[in-house]
Amino acid sequence: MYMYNAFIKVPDYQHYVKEDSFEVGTPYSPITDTNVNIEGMVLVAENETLKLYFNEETTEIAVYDKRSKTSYYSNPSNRSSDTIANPQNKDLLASQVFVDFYDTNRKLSSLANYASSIKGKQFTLESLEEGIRITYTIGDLQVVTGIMPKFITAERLQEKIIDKITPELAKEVKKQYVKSVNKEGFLEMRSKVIEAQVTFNKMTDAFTQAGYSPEDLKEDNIASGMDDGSSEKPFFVIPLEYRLAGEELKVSIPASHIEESSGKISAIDVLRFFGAADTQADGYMLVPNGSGALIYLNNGKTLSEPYVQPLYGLDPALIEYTQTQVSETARLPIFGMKNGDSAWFARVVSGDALTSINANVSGKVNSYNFVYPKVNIRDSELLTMFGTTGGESDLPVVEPDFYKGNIQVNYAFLKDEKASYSGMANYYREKLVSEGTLTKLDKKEEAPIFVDIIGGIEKKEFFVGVPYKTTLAMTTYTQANAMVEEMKSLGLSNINLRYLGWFNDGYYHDVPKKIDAIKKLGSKAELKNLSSTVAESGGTLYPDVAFQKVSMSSKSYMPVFESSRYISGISIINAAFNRATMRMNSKFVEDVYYVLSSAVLPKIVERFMKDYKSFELDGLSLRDLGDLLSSDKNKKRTIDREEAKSIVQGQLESVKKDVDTLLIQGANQYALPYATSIVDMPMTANQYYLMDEAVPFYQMVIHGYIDYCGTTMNLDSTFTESDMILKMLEYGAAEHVSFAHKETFELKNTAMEYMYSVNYTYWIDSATRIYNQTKDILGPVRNQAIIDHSRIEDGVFKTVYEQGTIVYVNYNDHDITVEETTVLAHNFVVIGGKN
Amino acid sequence: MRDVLKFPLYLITHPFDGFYSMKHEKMGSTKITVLNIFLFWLVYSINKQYAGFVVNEINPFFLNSLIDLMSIVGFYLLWCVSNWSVTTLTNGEGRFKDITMAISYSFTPMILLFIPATILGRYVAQNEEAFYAMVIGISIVWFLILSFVGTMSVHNYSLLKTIVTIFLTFIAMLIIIFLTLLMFTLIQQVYMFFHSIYTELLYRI
Repeated sequence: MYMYNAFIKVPDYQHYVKEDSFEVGTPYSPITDTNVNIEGMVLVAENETLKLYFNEETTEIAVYDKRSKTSYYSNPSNRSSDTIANPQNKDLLASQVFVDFYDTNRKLSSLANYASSIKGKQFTLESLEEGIRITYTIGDLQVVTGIMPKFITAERLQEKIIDKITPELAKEVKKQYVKSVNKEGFLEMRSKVIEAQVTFNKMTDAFTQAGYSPEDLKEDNIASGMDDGSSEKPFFVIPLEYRLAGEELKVSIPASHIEESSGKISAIDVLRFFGAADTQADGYMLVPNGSGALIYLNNGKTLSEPYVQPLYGLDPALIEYTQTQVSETARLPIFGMKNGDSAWFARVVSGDALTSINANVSGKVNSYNFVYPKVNIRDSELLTMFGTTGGESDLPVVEPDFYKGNIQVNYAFLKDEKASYSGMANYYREKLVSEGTLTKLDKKEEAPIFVDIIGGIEKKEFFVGVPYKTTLAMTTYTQANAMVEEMKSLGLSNINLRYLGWFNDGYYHDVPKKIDAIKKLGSKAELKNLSSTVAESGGTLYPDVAFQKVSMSSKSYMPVFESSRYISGISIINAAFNRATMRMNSKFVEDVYYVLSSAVLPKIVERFMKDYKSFELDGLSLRDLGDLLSSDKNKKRTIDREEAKSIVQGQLESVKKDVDTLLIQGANQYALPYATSIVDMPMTANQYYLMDEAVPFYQMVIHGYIDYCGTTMNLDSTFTESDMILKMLEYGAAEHVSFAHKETFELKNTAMEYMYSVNYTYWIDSATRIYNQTKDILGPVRNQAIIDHSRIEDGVFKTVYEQGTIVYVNYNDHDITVEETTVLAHNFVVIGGKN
Repeated sequence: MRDVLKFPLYLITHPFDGFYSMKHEKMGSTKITVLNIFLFWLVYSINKQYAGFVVNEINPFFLNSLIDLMSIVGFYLLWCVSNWSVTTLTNGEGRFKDITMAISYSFTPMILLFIPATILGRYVAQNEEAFYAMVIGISIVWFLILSFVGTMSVHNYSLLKTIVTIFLTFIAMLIIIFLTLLMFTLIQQVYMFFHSIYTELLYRI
């Protein structure tokens, strides 16, 4: 019974998952348009700011923005003059919905809705409250032989056709059916019939005259064994909804109403070419890589790979053992495009955990630059079979069910001075504030500093040559206390102390079902004492805990019951990537981890919080709860990433109830409402060849609302004090430093040996200098938003805060004069504010 | 008691007489046999862990003396079993007990010399490494001579027959290892076969 409660019992987690509603449509009827803004289209919805136009022939839509008198099209309106696209690609340019699916042989193929639905008029229309729903039947419904059977018995042909039509026609029909070679007792239609249109029409006429019905056809096909279900071509029914909501266009696909025949849908692209910019356009696309990145329109990089990035990092259940690149995680579900003096900005509102953002520039397959979301509603994996070799041995296993929630993307339209990534950030921030995701920071005008303290860490020691595990105490509570006291005397304030490795054996701790504080670090009273010393400086003590990544060295963990699983049923095991071998491996067992199933997560969090309350601390650092999002493919309780997101949010909510201030590492968008501070926030973007510029988009969204900092500075391989100061000022980020009391060589042969430069005495001077140089600038603007950021020229950036403080930074090796201000090399200038 | 403890020292200096008395005059003791194996494990592990880095190429982080113990006992038994299997077919007079005793007593020079060699290994420089190698080498050669003479005396063989028997013992060892591996592989293959039937049933149908 104890075992059952401890490991097997799964409490109800379903109540964290929200149900999506479905609006029942009314018969399609366009609105009369008094003032036609777009020719050739009809008006289907209108509000104070926007008009939604719809083309009944091609099912394209267009949005007309009344404020700026600009139109945005779902498909490029000048696509017929594209000189690069071939006919197939032109069909794609006219499509709104793209389906990737597995056919009956589990091969991945794709269909687009222009060629496979719109051309054949396979769609129905409904009007909605504020918009329109188009239900597409995507797929080739035409059978090669039309209404006629390929095989039929002589008796049936006589009875059903010959007897009912004129002798001349009967003669023709008889001529086209010959004795079958493959099927004994059947007549087979000559292949000539399909090839020659005239004969085909004549035959079809004959069969129509005879009154040969689809039921008859089915009967014949069953008799000849043609209709076994497998020869049927796959088709999909996908509803696509457009609605106007305030100043936004809401595009959604209620996935619960998707139907599929023999194929299995893997992913759906939504409005791939919305607002696509042609070769004349000037501007950029915003993609959510790292802190945010820009791809200039028509940048000519036609040889590079397109941009594809899943939101919130890779799903551990799908991660591959070998990886050739290390990506900055996309933490915000956003993308956008600036084209000339207008811009549109999109955010994925529902289904974001399954979405990847894709972007491509003109000149590759067509003349357009486009950025769009791809929603992975069903996953698959390759299962290697024993006893066979080559391609045969890899059996693709496809999930039986797909995501049944809503997929929703909201598009907003910006104009003139708002048409920039700063404008998009301002717009997004306002939305998040009005939705209650962000709340303004308190008035305290002291720049924060984030200090990581390395506490206990598991280390292998030897007793008469026999290895065993023990905890190495790098910094005790008393030592940490002394550090904070000294930092205070050096002028540092608002110290936020994250204490790494303080319970269950160390940093790579046992699954947090209970808390066994490490005795070597000191007593509970000493921990309380440390907490109050930190509080005196104006900051908070954040003891660190990892919930989802469970180290392989964990003792009270049973992967069979508690782990997330791959589709093949094996428990997920991940490890840090070794950049030399590009493989997931580690020489330390602590660094290899299971991923806790989201179904078990509420139980673990509840037990941890029960113990944690007895410590009476007001801060808690969450190492992975806002960072890692994993699906669980366990057959008995399949949880997709969207459900996992809801469960994780539920946990953040319940933790927040007991602990006032939360410090979250990494922090994806869904964790923002619960974060007081964020560490290890992306401070740059990957330097992919396709991308042209990294921008502090994420920082602009949350500055003034959440304190944040990048990764710790003393582990940065390119660290220089002056550039660190410039980066902090440009990005509005706080200082982040790691300290340990013992010499760092003690960390050798532990999984933390990558922290080779964290000794307190070596770093405190540098940390103090950086803090003192930046505190008078970052302190006063702590609760102000960044309203504008721009690149003046290479290496020179301008950041503007809400109340007018302007910061110029110059990363170059030479002095630069901008807007009548000279900025020295590797230096900065602040205008306005308290300076 | 004293004689029993002193006997190994007598044996290593007078191998022919020693092994004869060990078998025929009941001078050998089972306790000393087991003790010798244990002592050899001890000096071997001490040498691996504490010999100076100049002469020691083993990464101390991956040391595990329990694994050393298992491999020493494993190989010791493997040799004894193989030798016994061969010599019963070739009219050897030694019993299994005699064989185990002879080999175990032959360890004595290594037990005596490994500790001094380890201490020496901590003080030698790179170009003095030969001295360390010499001490270790002498102990090993001494062990080989002893075990050779031991096998010869215990089974009452001629020189040539001993050489042939030792050669055959090696072959027998290989056969034993081969059969063990074969068994494990077969079990694994059978398991994999049923496992893949299970997965195919689960996912292809």
